[in-house]
Amino acid sequence: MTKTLVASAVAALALFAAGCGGSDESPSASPTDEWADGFCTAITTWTDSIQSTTEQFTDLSAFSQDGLEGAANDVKGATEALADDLKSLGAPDTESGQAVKDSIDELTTTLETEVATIEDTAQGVSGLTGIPAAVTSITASLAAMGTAFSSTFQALEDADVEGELQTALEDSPACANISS
Amino acid sequence: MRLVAVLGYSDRRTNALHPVGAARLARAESEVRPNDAVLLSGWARQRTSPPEADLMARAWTSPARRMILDRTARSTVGNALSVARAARRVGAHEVVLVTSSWHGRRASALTRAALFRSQTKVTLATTDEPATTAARLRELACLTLLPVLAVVAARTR
Repeated sequence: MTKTLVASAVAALALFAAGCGGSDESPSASPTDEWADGFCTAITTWTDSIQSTTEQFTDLSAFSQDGLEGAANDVKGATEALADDLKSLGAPDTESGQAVKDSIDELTTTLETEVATIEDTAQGVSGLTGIPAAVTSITASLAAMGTAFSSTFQALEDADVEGELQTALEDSPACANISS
Repeated sequence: MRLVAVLGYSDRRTNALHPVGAARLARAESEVRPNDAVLLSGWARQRTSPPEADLMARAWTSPARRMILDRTARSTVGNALSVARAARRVGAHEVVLVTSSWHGRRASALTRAALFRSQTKVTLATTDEPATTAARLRELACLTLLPVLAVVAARTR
């Protein structure tokens, strides 16, 4: 909740500053900058949404049938929103734009496939005895999503030979608070 | 015996040892003792380039009791599983995991998970080059899924 309030306050301040800072004097964001902002926002929104849910999958005893379905729904909602956000970004206006878009399309396809599997698995559980197998299956799907993320980010870096995307990401206000 | 495990790094821009990989190798050489075993882990990102493990092996200069090359690891989970297998094979009581500081949290958590139920201690030795924003985003996304990936690593032999 606190994080949401802080984020809202920061966003409000940014809007205020944009409105009062003399727009004719401020350089407007390039399409690549906007793409980088959108990309970082999509990823951080997803990680904020899903973090507490993924931790639940480490403890079988934590799950009831309803709990499993609820957790699966949380993953589904957050991941579908991420896939939609990433698709709406399109290709960045860079030399590697199409290659970046292709990598992200591959990621969203994997995310959608794994989310469908997670949903089917959670809905197919009958009784407590079915929960361990379902958690194993859902864990495998989440791990596949992790592998897809890792491959996609590596592909983005590999494709960005000119460093245009890297510069836009480094300069993006939305990426600035991501710590390593 | 200790196992000093170096996690490779490469990109598609060079067929030579990447500066990040070279920094990790230098850090490992500052850690290694003559009685240690050394694991160099990393695949070939391109068909035309040598595996990261081979590039590191060519550049390695310090004496060590044994050197193991893992050319198969394509991801941090793959690295962790490879480290755990090598640690069991040499009977290591300690793994010194060498990677970049921005990668250390995920790599050490996964290695500890892969060594689940073993007595092997995992210590981290890191390099301090800054992460690119893309690397930080990757870590953020992968750390979100870390609990799940750790379960997978712990279950895999």
